[in-house]
Amino acid sequence: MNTLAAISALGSPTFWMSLFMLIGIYAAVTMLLNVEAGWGGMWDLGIVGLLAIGSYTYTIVTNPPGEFDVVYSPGWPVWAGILAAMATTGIVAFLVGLPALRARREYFLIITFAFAEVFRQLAINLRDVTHGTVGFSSVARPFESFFEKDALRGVLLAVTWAAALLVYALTRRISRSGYGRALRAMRDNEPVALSLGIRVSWLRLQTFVLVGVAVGGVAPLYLWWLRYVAPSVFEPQFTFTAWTALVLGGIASRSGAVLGVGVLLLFTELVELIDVPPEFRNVHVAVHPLAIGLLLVLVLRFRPEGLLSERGTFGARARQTTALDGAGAAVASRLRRLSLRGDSGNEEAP
Amino acid sequence: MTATDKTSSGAMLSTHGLYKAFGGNVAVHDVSLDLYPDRITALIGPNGAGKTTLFNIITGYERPDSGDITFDGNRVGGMAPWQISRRGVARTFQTPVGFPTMTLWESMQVAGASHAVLTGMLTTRGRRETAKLSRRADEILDHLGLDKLLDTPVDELAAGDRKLAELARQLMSQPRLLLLDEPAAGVNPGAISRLSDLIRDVHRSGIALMIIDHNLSFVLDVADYVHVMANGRIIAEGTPEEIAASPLVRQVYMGVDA
Ligand SMILES: Nc1ncnc2c1ncn2[C@@H]1O[C@H](COP(=O)(O)OP(=O)(O)OP(=O)(O)O)[C@@H](O)[C@H]1O
Ligand SMILES: [Mg+2]
Repeated sequence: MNTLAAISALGSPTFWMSLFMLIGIYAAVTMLLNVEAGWGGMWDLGIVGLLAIGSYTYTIVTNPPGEFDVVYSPGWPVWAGILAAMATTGIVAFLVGLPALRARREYFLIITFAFAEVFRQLAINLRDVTHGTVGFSSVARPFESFFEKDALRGVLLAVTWAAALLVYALTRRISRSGYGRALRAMRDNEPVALSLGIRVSWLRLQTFVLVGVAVGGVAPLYLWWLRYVAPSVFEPQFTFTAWTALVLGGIASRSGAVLGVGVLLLFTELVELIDVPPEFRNVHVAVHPLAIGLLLVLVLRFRPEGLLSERGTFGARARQTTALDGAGAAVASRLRRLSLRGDSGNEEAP
Repeated sequence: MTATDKTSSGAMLSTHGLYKAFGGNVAVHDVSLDLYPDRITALIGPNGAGKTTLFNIITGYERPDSGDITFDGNRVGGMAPWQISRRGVARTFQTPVGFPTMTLWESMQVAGASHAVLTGMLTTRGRRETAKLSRRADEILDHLGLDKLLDTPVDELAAGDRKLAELARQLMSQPRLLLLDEPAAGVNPGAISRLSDLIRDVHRSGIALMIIDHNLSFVLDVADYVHVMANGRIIAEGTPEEIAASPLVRQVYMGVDA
């Protein structure tokens, strides 16, 4: 009977729809975390704080006036809410980043974690603005007048995945740009990066704000699926899940974040599905984090760099050659043939 | 001050009374020197003489306690390393670590690219820039004989190649002045004369050079002018012949080194 329940859940479209929705959202956030932490070397342990800022901004400005007992609800349309969420999160990232990015890597990790917790406490305590621990029990969603309930879920899933795809395109562009190389250079060796004219502190701040703006844009998608906002949504668990997925999939690779999120969420949601008799419920709840830990240990034992690796993304020149690179290489090899210099070889290698 | 200005006419880089102490340890003591672009300048001296610290001050990594630096007639003392780099002063580091997660070719693409978020990602500029950088990298790697190693991760290069890779990477930013911190260290003796040729090529291409090294025969061979440093002070300067003949230098430098 328990098995039957699990199997029927597996067959239900709601289960899969929720899972894919969650994968889309986590994938977007984890890819952004990868830009910041994987490439930029900024170990942000408070990315959920940015998500919280975006989420609250979106909800507060889009709530219908008078529906909740709060001081400010201008009732803006959804698109304005998204823009407001991105702008506010960007500004907050700037204000947090300004002092936090001066700190060394380990301290940055602690400071960002602390800021995320401060934001959550503010959400709990600024009752007049955030509705306290109760939060908001409804969230404005787009297309609500065009589709009925089930169809709307499908449409929002498609929108979420489109957004995740957009984030992927962004990280792909970054990985091939001078900006992306500067990020990895600064992470690898700050003195040398400086000696090449990279303004390291400014680059860090720009990146932190870029990630903030983008996370602010992802926040509404998360809310459309959740359909409520409360401080409990923004507990550190979210950040830990994104980090675990990133490490699992391969930190600093390009697609690792997506793969890691897919594997991790599929795994945890399936573990959740296993139905157990009531007397084992406690054990089941405890097994959940244990199972994630085990998965992580197994992957890191056999593939220390994660399922995918940075070298896989950036390894050989051929893999990142664009059409114009090709033309450049052709010109250079022609020059090489014309040059009269003898074979210089590598004989200086001891 | 006027006296300094007179003597430094034609100098690309001048330091005026630089002084730097770490705690009670004076690393650089009242160093004033002029660097002219038309000759290869060397800086020699025993371990701990303050040579690397002087480079660090010139390139903005250390702040001098007093003294000033002019580059091209402009004061650059107190500027950040990236600002000095953008003005055309490049340097290598004594320990060539580079960017360990990158291949040689990739590490060549860092310099000269647009680094900022927006300019670094704009399509047309990015593409054209990539093509331009590829060409420049190919030429440099070719010239230094590193072209076959372009797909090798930097941390897998042999010590000598790593030194050359360091030089190659800094050349990518098309500097006007290049400071080399011990380019011959770790290079196998048979390849030193080729290194001298390469350095002379770099200088001939219009880049002013200043070289720190411990290998005296290499320095006296490649340099046109030599400054000798000991205990934070410049104790002698002159042509390689004069330096090789100076009893003071023999005593302070070779005595310690032997
Ligand atoms: N960051 C620092 N903090 C404290 N002391 C330093 C620092 N950098 C250099 N020193 C000290 O300053 C002195 C000069 O060091 P420096 O590295 O400039 O010498 P060097 O001439 O380059 O020697 P070497 O030939 O061994 O490279 C040394 O006594 C060194 O211990
Ligand atoms: Mg030194």
